[in-house]
Amino acid sequence: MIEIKNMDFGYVSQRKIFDNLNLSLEAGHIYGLLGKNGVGKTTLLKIISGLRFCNSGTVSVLGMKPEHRKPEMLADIYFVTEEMDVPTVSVRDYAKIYAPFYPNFSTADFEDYLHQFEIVNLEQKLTKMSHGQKKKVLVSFALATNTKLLIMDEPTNGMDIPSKSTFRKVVASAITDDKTFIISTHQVRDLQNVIDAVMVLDNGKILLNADINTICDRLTFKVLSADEYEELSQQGKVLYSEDNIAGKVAVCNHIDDADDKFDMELLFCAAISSREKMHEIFAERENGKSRFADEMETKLNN
Amino acid sequence: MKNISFYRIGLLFKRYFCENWKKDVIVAAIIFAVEMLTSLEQETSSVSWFVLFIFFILYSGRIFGMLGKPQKAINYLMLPASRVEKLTVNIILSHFYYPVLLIAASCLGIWASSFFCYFIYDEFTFKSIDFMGIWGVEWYFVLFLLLTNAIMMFGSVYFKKAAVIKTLLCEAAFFVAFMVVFSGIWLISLRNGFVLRRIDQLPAEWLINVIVSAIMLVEIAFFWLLSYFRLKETEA
Amino acid sequence: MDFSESKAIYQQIADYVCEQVLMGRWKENDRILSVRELGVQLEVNPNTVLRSYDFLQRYGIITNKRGVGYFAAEDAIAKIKELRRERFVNKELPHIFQEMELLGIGINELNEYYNEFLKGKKNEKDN
Repeated sequence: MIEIKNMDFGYVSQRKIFDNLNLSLEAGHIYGLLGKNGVGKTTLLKIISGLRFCNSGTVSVLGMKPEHRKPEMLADIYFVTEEMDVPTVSVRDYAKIYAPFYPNFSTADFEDYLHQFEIVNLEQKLTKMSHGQKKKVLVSFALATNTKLLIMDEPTNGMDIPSKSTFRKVVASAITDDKTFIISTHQVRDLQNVIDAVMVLDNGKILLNADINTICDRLTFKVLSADEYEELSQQGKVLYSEDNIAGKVAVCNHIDDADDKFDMELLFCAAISSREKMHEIFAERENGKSRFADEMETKLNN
Repeated sequence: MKNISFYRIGLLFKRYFCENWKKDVIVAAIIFAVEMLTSLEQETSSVSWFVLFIFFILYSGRIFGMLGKPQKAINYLMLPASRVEKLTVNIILSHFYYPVLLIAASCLGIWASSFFCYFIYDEFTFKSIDFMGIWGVEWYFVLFLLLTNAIMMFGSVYFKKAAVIKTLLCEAAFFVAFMVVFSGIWLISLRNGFVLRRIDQLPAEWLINVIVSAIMLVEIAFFWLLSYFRLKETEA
Repeated sequence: MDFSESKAIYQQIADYVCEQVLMGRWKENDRILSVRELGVQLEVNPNTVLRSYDFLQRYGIITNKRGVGYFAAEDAIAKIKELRRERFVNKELPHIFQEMELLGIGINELNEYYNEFLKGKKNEKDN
């Protein structure tokens, strides 16, 4: 679906934003793109969608080079940006104008998503809507285009609480095994359960790119008692820990028999605080694919 | 999918008209009203060609102004249509559709005024736009217009803010620089008696016309090409 | 559903399915929600639901009929109880024993509490 190899990028040639970045994304997953402010999450999304060109290396999206912006590629990519600029037309007219550009657009889906987001007045002008409402319309439209690649940059920003729940529902209903969604977000708690693969961008590279099953196979997220903590950290197995009411919440190397609890926020903190260990643990990712991953791909069809 | 699909070109037109028909109707209505009111007392059109041309040139800027704001640029560049299709639609809109719209509006205005005159003065004098004026417009003026248009388009694509003013300034600077260089060459060659010696050998007038026209056409194509390359560029 | 407890999401989803069957909302031998439907209802990724279904299938609680969907097994309730029993003995009991050891509660004392509990329950029923 997406293959990036040895990619370099910098706005000014002196300061590189991406340095020899490699990334490979497969269809059928909802990827969460995490990273601190200013690491270039939006820039990476723009490179994938062909709005920015890398300085060196290769980028391949749906088997094409995104910078060529071929119509057949553009018809299979939709990018929901964080800020939006909408024309002065009603919701209904917006769909009439833009939907025909996307061969797989489904009007029924669009209306269903809008209904779920409680946008009932389709005659309302987009320019008269609040930021959150515009976002709901554009997210509904984006999902209804049924493009193979859907990129959303901070989609839940500006959405009210019920809409975030609706967002999770519609995203979960729209993903199929031939589509890839990439969601860049800081609102980890909002989206933790709909994301099933995590990319962490840090220091110009992809620090971690793994599906959650693989992560749970290799790491354990656990509340540790003082003794346990002492023991594990002496073995060098604690990657990251923070104190909370229950004791120490820690991310450690996989412990057999522990529950496969997963916490994306902890994972992110662990990733950026012990980069080398993280790298080691996930280095042989290719051969050590999650034991469920293969079976799942075939079964999602049913 | 090929690089040029009439279906997508149609969609791009539809997109333009759905989003902008109100603005165009307002401009047409203003021209219509002004033409009608001012030509009530006069024989022929009063809104000068100059005004129409200004409208025309600003319009080209507006069409490509779609790339002005980063957010707009992203939307436009991500639209599933090829660059050739987008450029074709923009050329047709700015060079055919809009001049026709402006001329039609002013024609209708004048015709309407002759209709009103019939009620007011009880005598019918058919007034119309001075079409001969259009055909009589100097060839160079048309070329100059197209060139200005192309430069405006180029400017509106490359400048983010206050594109029109910046482009006009650049254009002025360009012409001043051109004049300086040209007069410099002129002066130097004058001093060397170059021009005087050769004046009897100047080529025929039609040849000069062809050469100058060719240069202007190349420049027009040049600025259009630059605008096209902007579509190949990144979003900001 | 609250996902904040200390179990993996796929485990919680599996528990949810078991709960539906035990409560009789989903009957044995009946078709249950598809992976996608349950994903939408619980707002989780369908891949995660698939993992839960996979887990339940391995314990024989649900079955997958190709092209038709997932069904609650005919002895689903018995299987669920079996699974829960196994989990109670292997996971929860050790915790309880540890706590008992720490607090110095012997097995006889525990027996007393248990009898009291049964008596309380019986009284409730009689009233």
